[in-house]
Amino acid sequence: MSSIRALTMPKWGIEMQEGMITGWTAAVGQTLAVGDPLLDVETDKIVNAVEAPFAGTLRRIVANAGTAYPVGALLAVLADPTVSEAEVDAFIAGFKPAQTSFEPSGDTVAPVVAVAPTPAPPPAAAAMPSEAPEGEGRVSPIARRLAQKLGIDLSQIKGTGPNGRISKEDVEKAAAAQSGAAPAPAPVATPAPSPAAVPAVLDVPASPAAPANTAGVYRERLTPMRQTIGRRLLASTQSIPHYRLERTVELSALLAYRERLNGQGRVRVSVNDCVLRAVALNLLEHPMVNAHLVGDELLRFASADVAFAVATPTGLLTPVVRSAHALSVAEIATRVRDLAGRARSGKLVREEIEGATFTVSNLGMYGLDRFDAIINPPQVAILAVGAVREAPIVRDGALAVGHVCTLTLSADHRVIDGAAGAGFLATLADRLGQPATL
Amino acid sequence: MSTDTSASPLSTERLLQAYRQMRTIREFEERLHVEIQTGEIPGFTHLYSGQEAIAVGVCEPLGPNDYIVSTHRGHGHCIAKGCDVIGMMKEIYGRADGLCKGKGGSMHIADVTKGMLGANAIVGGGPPIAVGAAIACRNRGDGTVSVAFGGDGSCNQGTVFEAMNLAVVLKVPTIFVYENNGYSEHTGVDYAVGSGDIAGRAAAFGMPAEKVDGTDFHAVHAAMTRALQHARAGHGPYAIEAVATRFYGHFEGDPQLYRAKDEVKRQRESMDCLGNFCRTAANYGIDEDTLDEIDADVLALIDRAVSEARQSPPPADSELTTDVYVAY
Amino acid sequence: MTQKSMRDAINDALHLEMARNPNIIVLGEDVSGGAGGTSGQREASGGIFGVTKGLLPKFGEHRVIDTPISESAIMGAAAGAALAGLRPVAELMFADFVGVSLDQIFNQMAKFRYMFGGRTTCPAVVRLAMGAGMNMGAQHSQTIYPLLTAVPGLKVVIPSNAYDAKGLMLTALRGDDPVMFFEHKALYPRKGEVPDGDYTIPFGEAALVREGEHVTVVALARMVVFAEKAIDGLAKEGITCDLIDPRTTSPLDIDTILESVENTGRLVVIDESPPRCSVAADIAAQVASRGFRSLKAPIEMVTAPHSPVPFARELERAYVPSPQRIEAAIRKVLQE
Repeated sequence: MSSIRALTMPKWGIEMQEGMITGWTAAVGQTLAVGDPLLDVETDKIVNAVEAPFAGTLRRIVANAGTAYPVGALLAVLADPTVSEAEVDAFIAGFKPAQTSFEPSGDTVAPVVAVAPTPAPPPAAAAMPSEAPEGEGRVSPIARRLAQKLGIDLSQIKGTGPNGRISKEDVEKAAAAQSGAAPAPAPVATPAPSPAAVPAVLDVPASPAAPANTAGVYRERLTPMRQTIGRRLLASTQSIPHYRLERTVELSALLAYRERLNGQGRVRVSVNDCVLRAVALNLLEHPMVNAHLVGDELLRFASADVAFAVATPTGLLTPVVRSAHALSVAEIATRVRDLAGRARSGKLVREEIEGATFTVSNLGMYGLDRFDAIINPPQVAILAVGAVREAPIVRDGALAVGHVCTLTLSADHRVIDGAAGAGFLATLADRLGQPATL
Repeated sequence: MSTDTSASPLSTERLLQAYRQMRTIREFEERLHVEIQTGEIPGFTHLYSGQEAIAVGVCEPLGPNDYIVSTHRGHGHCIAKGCDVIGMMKEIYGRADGLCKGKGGSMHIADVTKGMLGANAIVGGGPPIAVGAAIACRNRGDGTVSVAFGGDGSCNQGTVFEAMNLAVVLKVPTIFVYENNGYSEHTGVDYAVGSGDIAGRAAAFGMPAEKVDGTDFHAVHAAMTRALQHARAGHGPYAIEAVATRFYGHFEGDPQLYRAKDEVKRQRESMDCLGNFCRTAANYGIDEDTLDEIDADVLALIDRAVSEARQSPPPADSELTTDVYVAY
Repeated sequence: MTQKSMRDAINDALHLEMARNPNIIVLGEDVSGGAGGTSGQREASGGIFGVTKGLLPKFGEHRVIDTPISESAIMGAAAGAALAGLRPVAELMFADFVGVSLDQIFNQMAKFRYMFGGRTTCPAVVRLAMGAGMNMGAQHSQTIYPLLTAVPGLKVVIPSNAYDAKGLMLTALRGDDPVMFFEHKALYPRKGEVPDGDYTIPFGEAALVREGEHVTVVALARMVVFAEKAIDGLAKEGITCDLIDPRTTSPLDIDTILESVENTGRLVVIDESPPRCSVAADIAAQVASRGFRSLKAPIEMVTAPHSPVPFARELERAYVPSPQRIEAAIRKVLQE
């Protein structure tokens, strides 16, 4: 067994063609056992840890965080400490990555094989004594007729047709040879086209030459995650008829309720946790909003699985609080804290990101009064929550200072018409105004 | 689990050979799991880890003239039927000197000379073929049999029902072994098998059927012995449902989102047939050192297999159109 | 030499070869008939078309096997029996039933040898009754052979007369590759001179049924008979044709067709199948590609329409290419 081992970009699943390194978790010089984490690789929206498939000392890292590499590419070298640097250098220089691409090789297209199937050469006689008649004495009926007409003795002819059969051309040649006359008109069998005659592989037009890095211009390729987010947002805005409804709610009662909860409980609860709970209960009362539109089918769900937005260094993620309607505000707060933390460190798994029935996006912490969000298909609506701010309100006919918050519902007009959307916000406002109902 | 130390009808030698077979399958599959991630192995593989006691329990009492027909998860059956391990590894790597000259791969791995009539990429494709082989056995009159491996997935295919009925009607010696590992692709057996009773279905077709713990080599072997007695005597087909688990996904790369998070971890501890065998090995007069020696031996063999496979050349282009026919 | 029907000629071949080779078994639905019946009579059918008559009494139940209606199991059993050293002849009562058994034919039987690296053979023969013209409706009248001609690993045999049928069947039974043997139902009763003894006809060898100078006509199965009618009529006007019966479409004797087209420069292909991806289309493409410079006129294809086989007599008559349509095509190709 070689004591220098290559660590390559792993193939996770039959379709994976490349992965982006998000960071190295092991360092050069570190001794690793089987299963120790080495680096994190991102594909689509998930980041997975690559574990050491064999034991050894990490001697060299040759791949960079922030870059994507094809499956099979060399990422690092593990070896015994006794192996010299020069040997590691030589190993790296001589390394050949596995060819895992599904694309055809870049060579020019091979000549087209003749249309008729190539007959398999008859196996060695010892193999299977076939009892079907073999090629000896076989003549094409056209050749036989021609031979008869020309008075040619077939037994004198060696056949060059399929399986050694005597062909018309063979008879013509024999006749010409016999009579010494010019050979019969050349047969018109089309020869296999020469490689030059075959159209070269179509050149895919190169993208317009991108400017090299110049002063003032910094080029950075979008990560797979960003690309995916981008594609989905574009699809959403292009295909869903968004419209927006806004409602400002007065949250003094809710804030007092939250104070009480935080005073007595061990769990710290935020305004947004209360909003999530209110939204979840609301969704059960407005089943058209707790739904997915798939093609021309509307799927309504019995459970309110509410996603909430988390800003991470690499992009916006929306982890899901499953069955939020069945969780108390405190339980929601616990779930949110856990999910948000893992979202920021890139440790969410797919079932924690997929399958939400509704999304709540809260940018209040950034001081925005109001904003509107883009729906995540196949969901049919999304709620944007602004900051809670002091503002003048009218209470019992007099001016007072209230704590207001503007909610903006973006809804899919194909499924939720104005009245339904407004109704949803009305119920939500009521709930938030009566926190005892949460 | 039997604690009667005189219980096994197998000699120590046969027991050790059975253990060696199971260990070979386990290490073969575990190593493949690692090597697949290098990208050097093309296409689909379906790993058998967790089900070794079934393949070996069923194949141990078979002779060289008995036949088996396998499934897409066929490495275990292939090894248990005595196929060349290195040739298998080369085939899975798609090399010219693989068991099938690199033309079949993991899902079509076969050695007809050893009575292994092929892994089959078509779910349910095997049992009718096994019944045909059993017709040949019956006509020869030499007491040989065929085994049709299947799973909780294939047991819902029409072809499997047809095969069972045909075997009963013609009274041919096919032993239907259903490996119930709990999942057919990404769907659980509790959902997919309507009656919830695979052995019961086979019985309903008119053959004796029993259900055993597929993680207990001795239990599987005993059931197979009963099945062989029945089939070799010309009484017709028999069915065994063996319940186990698969440690890996349906195919390599399957993220297994349909399994609870720590299910595999728990099952590797509680449902490991090799662990089960080792735990009771002392009852059969086998000590740990002997088993450890076998383990080391097997690991060396697998190492050699991978190393040789990686160095073998791929098939030449000229092989593309050979072996389509005997003569054309 | 006697006058025998095509069904009896095939029956002849089976009797002859089963006596010679104990590994041959026959299986299918009612290949004998009467199993489990109350009359006490076994061999109540000898096959629904009588092709397997007399085999059970002679060779016994282990070699002549009546099966339940389970095409997948029957075809799969044939595949497995062949791997295990027997030479099964399995019957698909109607070629249309290939649908319920296709996997065992095109994924299993056809591919064993290749997938297993050439280390095994699968000498199974599948007999299929095909063709329209007898009012049997859309699901009992198709040709099906175009689908299977396209499958690498299978051989496809399509006799047009009793003499060829016996010789081709004997070749099929002695070869080591899987063979799909198509028997046109309307040809079963047609008689011809058939030797009583042993003879074989190789695959991949077309028969030159009529000889002429002006047009090359290629036809399969029952279309050979119709083409003969059309050609014999035209001969009276001095128009003569080479009529080529390929007899097997895989392997296909394309060379004989090309040689004839070199002489005539005009080609008419007749196929009872619907036009898309038919054997007519396949032959036309091969000739257009390899024999382009010999052609003096576009190739004429005479096929059934792109529709299922209709039931009403008049419609079915319009569906099947007729001698009149064949004659018209030959005339057309001469006009260019």
